[in-house]
Amino acid sequence: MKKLLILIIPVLLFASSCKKYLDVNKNLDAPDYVEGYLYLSGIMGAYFGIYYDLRALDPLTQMMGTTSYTTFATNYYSEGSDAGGEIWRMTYWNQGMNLENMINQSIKAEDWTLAGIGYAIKAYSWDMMTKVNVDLPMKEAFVPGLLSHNYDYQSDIYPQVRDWATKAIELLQKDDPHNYGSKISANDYLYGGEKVSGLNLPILCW
Amino acid sequence: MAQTRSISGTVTNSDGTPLHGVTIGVKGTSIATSTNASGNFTLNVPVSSSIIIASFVGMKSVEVAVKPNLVIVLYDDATSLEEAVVTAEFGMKRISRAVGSSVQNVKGADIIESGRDNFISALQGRVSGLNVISTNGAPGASTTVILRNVTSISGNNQPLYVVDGVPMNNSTYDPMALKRGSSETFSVRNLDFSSRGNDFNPEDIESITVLKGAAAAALYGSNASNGAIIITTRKGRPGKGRVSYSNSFRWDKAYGFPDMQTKYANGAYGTTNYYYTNKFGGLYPSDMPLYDNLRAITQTGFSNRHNISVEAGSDKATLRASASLVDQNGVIKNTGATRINLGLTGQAKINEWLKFEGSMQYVNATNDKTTRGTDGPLYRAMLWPTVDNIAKYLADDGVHMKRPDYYLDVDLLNPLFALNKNKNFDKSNRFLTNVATTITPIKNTFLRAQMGWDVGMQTFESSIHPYYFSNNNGVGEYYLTHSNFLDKSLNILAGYNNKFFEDKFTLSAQVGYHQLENGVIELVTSGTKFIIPDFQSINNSEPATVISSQKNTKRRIQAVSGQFEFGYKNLAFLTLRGRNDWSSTLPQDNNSYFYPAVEGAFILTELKALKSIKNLDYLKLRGSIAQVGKDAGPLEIMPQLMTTGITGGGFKYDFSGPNLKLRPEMTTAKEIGFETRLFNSRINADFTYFYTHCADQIVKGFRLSYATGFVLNTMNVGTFNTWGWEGHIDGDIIRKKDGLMWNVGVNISHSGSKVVFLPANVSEYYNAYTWNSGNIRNGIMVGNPITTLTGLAYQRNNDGQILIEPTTGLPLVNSKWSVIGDREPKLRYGITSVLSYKGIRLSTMLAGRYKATVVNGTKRSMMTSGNSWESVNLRESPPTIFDGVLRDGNENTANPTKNIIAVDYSIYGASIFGGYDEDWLEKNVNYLRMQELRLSYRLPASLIKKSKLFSTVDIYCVGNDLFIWSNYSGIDAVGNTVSAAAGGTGGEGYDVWSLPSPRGFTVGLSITF
Repeated sequence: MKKLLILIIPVLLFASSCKKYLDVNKNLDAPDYVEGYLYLSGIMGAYFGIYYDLRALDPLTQMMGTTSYTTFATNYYSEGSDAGGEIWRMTYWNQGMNLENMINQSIKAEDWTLAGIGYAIKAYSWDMMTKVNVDLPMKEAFVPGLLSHNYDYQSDIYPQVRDWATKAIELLQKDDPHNYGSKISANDYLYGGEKVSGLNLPILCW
Repeated sequence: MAQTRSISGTVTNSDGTPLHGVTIGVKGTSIATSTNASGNFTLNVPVSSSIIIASFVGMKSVEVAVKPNLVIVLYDDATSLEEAVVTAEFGMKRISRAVGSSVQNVKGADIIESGRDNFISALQGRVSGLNVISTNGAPGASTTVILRNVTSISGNNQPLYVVDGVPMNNSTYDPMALKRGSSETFSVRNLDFSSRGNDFNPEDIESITVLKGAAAAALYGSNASNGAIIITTRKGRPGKGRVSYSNSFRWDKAYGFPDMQTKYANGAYGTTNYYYTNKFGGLYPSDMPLYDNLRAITQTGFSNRHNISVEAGSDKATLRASASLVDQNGVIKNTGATRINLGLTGQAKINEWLKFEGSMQYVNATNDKTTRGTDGPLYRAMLWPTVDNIAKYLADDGVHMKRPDYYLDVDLLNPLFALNKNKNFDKSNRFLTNVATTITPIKNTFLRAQMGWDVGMQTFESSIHPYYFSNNNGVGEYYLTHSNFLDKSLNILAGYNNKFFEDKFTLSAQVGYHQLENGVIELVTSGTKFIIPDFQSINNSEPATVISSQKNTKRRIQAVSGQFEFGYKNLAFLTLRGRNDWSSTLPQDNNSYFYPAVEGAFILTELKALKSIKNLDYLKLRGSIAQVGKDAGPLEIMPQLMTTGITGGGFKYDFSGPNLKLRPEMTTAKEIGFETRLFNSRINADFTYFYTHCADQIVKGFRLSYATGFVLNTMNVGTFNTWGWEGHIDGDIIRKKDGLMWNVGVNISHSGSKVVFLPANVSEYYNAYTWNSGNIRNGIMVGNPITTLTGLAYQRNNDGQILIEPTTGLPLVNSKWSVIGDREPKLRYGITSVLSYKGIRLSTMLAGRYKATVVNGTKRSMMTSGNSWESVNLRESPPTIFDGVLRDGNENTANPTKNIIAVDYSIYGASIFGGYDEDWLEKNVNYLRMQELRLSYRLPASLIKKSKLFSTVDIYCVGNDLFIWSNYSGIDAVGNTVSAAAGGTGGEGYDVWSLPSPRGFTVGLSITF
């Protein structure tokens, strides 16, 4: 009997709760979830890179560029290059899920101003993107688990852009009792959190 | 009462070492005793009996006539290996016959005698199907070991290293955190770190068992999906206490460098102009002194190694303590590595039912290294103007980097300045500990509990001197990294074995519970703007520039396993194994995965029909099917946000997106093979064919459309198959009774693979760090092997002829990447030969590859910079007409227009000399390297016995990597363009200024007191 106990006791001593032991896949060094307003300055900062798309627009327009870039009105597009890709990269990735998170989290928390700003930015960016790149994956964008994405026609994208712009106007004009402190004004580098002038952005997209 | 007489004697083995525990019996009676620790015995033999039998496991029994003061010598019995055991998982032993998968043993003595400083490099060529890729020949270089073929597109493909049943950390640090902002200073392509497996002291190894493939290591779980290398440490021997001391002194010389041209000076279009780095200028004046700058950065490397160990023990307990020092200077100036090992191991039988084993090792390793590839000293020495002596690297003020004579630009960096003034210094302190107890409370059952800790603290300093910059105008960069790891493991096994039905059936059952933890804590601090240029410290950088970041990851696995082995009459065996893992790195609702394995072994020579065949000693057929599941890396399902780094702060997603639906990978491996011994065990052979299917691969950093919201994704994508065979045959060509023995062995393996599935719009998957020469990278595409190279191939017509641009006469290349070659050689092989006679032993080991494809990035950069004799020939030759057809619309008709346009290289700039990607693949490269040539002599016992101090004295000399026979024209056909930390299919066979293994000559002495 003694020998059997010697067999069993060590096994019992080492038994531990499975779930708790395995719950170590957390980020200790950086958050994987932050409040909506913290995404804002990064989203707006992403607009800085847009001028790289001059490489796509200049040759097609009569833009009087700098002395080092004189391809205006030559009416071509460099095949195989990534000219016109900056707006794509900005809307899908730099703003992309950051913007989605900000909008969804704000709506859930009923931060109407922040949500309105989010929709305004989304409408403006997508509007710019479809003007440069025409057909885009829209309905299948940001859907997790998809390995390939179907494109949507530009004629379907413009109504959606208008829809977002409308939502932005509605939300910005809504009564928002929430006291943001400096959360928006310190991060909004376009309009400083000012709702009335902020309306300019979604109206542009109409 | 029969009369007896007392007979005493001694039993030794063929070396003269006394044997303990030998059974001494009187023939025809049951009288028996055994020898004591000194090999002595005393026996009361009846007067009527006249024959004494001495027998011992693994040795041939000897019968001698009774006489006083017997001296009996026992020899190894090669034929008794049927009862041999292999060390399987968790330190458990399995009968070799019953194992259905491919397992190979390597003796500790072979590893120690190889002359290598780490045991990983010593394994190359000894085990069929095992391929060791050393990143380069510098001290402390990382190593990648692939057993058979890879099982992961982007992850870890190394086998699991196990010490006494406990997994050992073999990580290689990936320097991707060493950057400021978005620009990367260091990466796996230019900075290599030691693999932690290099820490292990080869002198402490008793034996190594290589479990190839998933089946053999099924109980170890996902970490062993590529197989396992099991090290059993020496724990002391019962008997007389022993003190052993050995040393070796080694000189290394680098060789195999390409010749630099000494005809044309810097410039372009035939005009000498020292503003240019490339050498396409005019002729050198005949009296101009020219310097061999490649040689100036090399030196004769010297290393010495000292090892001392003490062993003692009795039947009940044994103990071994060892200490070892390795101090190595590399062949590149100012590089070197040191290692200090201290070890204490022991085992004890506390009472009849309790056994205890423990082992503790402390390793202190340092490494002074330099950058590699196109940031390394070899490349920079090549670029240097041949008219300037690179060895004078300091300017007249003794502080700044000297600009080369004659050269007008300020962009060249002197590699000797880098070797002396930049600091790349690694330090590591590590403790490897494990303890195990085995309890056998009831007959036929056992309980074994084992715990292990592998704790390492690594500090890496990487520093760039401010003057190591264009025009001495830099600010310096300093990185200090602390990377600590803590791996804990716990294994509890309970087992039962018994025989049934008059020993016809045997059952051996075992269940286990396992816990495993891998934790990493990393802290990186960096600063720039050194205050004092020569001082390397974080305190010396401007405080406002100091950035710190930390990284903590933990991975935990809990598992239960079971193994049931059924045997029938020692003739047929069936083993069922299974393991279920719960991993912390997978989503909580789907973090459990189960994977079984089945093994079968059939010993044909036990059948009556075959038993009678003379000379067929042993023939075993074996086969197995196993599955292994693999989890993700830590923090992959929900990557953390990063700070934006811009005004306004805030957070944003990094390149990789989350994946809350991540599933475990599943690899299914099948193998079948045979083992045989012939002609009284003079010939040993084994052969295995394997087929592995890897599905649902978790690929990190997979590029899909940005419409996913991310640049990179971690997803279950990618399915591929690998297959191949490995074979081994060795034979005693000469085996004479007087001790003359000559054994020759050959290992061969071959492997192929195919990518079966990648997502529809992903045409290629590659590791960006392998994009190191032109546009060639290690991409994989559906329908092609997994070891392919992709690049921009020539445009061709339907008949395969190259298309030529009609206006320039130059070939056209595609704008999209395609597969241009396969790095996997047709055959990998190793040849060993051992010749021994009395005390002399001559052994040699050769390893090679047959028909490999290698990217000659070295020659390509020499061609583009005008430094190779081939570039001289090309510019001196008459205009070239490229072989192909013009792309004028007729290329796919019945009469394509043959190209007759001549291209005059002298009117083109340097870049055209670089050619096109397909030109730089050397196909059908054959490579044979003499890895070891060793001659040792054991002083005869008669000479030593007089001194009464020594027991054995061995003197030896070894040559390592003495010769390479190859048709490859670059530097190193077997180097790796990325460090082992890159994982995935790596960069083997991609040569961009890799330093090859130098030629080494060692002399040494080994003494036992």
